[in-house]
Amino acid sequence: MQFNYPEFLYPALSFIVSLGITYAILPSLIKYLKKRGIIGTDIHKPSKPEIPEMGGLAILVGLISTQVLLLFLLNEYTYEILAFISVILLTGFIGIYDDLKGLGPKKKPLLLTLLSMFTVFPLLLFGVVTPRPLLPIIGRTRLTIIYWIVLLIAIAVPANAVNMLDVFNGSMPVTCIIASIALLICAIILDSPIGIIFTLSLLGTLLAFFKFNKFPSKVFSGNVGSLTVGATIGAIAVIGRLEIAAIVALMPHIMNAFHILTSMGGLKEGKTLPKRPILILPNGKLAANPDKDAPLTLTRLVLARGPLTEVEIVKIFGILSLFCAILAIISVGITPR
Amino acid sequence: MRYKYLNIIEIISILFVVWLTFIFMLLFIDIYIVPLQLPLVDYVGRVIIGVTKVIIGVGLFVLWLFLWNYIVKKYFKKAINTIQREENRESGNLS
Repeated sequence: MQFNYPEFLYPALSFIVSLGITYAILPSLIKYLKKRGIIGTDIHKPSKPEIPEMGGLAILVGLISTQVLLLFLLNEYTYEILAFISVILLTGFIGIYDDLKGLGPKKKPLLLTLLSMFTVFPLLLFGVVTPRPLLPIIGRTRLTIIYWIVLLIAIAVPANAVNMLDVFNGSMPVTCIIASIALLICAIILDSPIGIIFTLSLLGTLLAFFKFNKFPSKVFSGNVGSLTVGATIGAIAVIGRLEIAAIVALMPHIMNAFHILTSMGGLKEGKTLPKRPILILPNGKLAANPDKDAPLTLTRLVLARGPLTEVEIVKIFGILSLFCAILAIISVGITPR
Repeated sequence: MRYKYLNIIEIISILFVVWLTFIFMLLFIDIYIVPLQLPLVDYVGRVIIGVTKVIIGVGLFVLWLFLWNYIVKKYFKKAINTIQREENRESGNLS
């Protein structure tokens, strides 16, 4: 690792700028969203309070502005930063459209897959991505066919998986902060300077957002926030060469998305489901719906042994993410270099 | 409280098994699938070998997903049944 001055400055700058911008924007954004009536109902509370939605716009602005700044400072990573910005921007716009007009779960993964295909082209053109991922125990491999197939869904899968676990106050930032810390450690181990810079940028913006999204939430991230964060993790994995680490760190998210899809028999509109996965008890606690036709989500799995409060569920999500973060670091640790 | 922590340990165990099988699957692919050779030397032959490797690799991945799905569904069914049995027993004791 060669992080001498001023190279050491860029990761620190990436973290501080993204944290500062997101933190500074959010209070005014919350006021604006309230004024414009862009609000959502917190369905997991008995009083069903209305909370401003699309707070994820601050995440998007925080990430983009940091990267634009770095674009002028880090000349050796121009193509990587441009590719990163293009992925975040495209996904962010899909999220904004989804929040304002409604995209529907059938179109969203398809559009994201198509967009991730577009982001692959500049990467190929500038030779930023090579199909030689580092695999645990095995080391550097040459996956000349399968890598490109997987690359097509490298943004769509994490974006949708993070979006599907953004269901409780603070659940998205908590799980993604832990995954980001794991990616940061893996990037340090694997000597990936651009991975470190991108991860610190994500970590900064998520920490600032968590302050406003934690229980009881002052703002929701909306699809713009959760899709952007998921796509950012996907982009970090591809550009920063942290593919396996990202898959393992996001295992709770992937587990949730995968079981929703299998138990529902494909992509279906959440509101049209005949059975809800969880029930709200009169005491405010949440319980798993015992109906066998209800979709199997990670929350329902967590609640399988009895009702819990929203805060307890998010804490368990955090513990599961922490365990997967440790597994991600072990995966990188047992990777020959 | 007891159930809460038991639940975390159980889900962590599932995640650990899933991770372990993922690592073994990668190892299996590297040892057996990647060096796979067929008695075909021309260009078409190389394409066939490549496609065969991809199909086996994808097949193993799908198998791994099914295993994951099976473990989770089994666990969930067992956990829900245990809770319902205990609730029935408690309501029986009360009456």
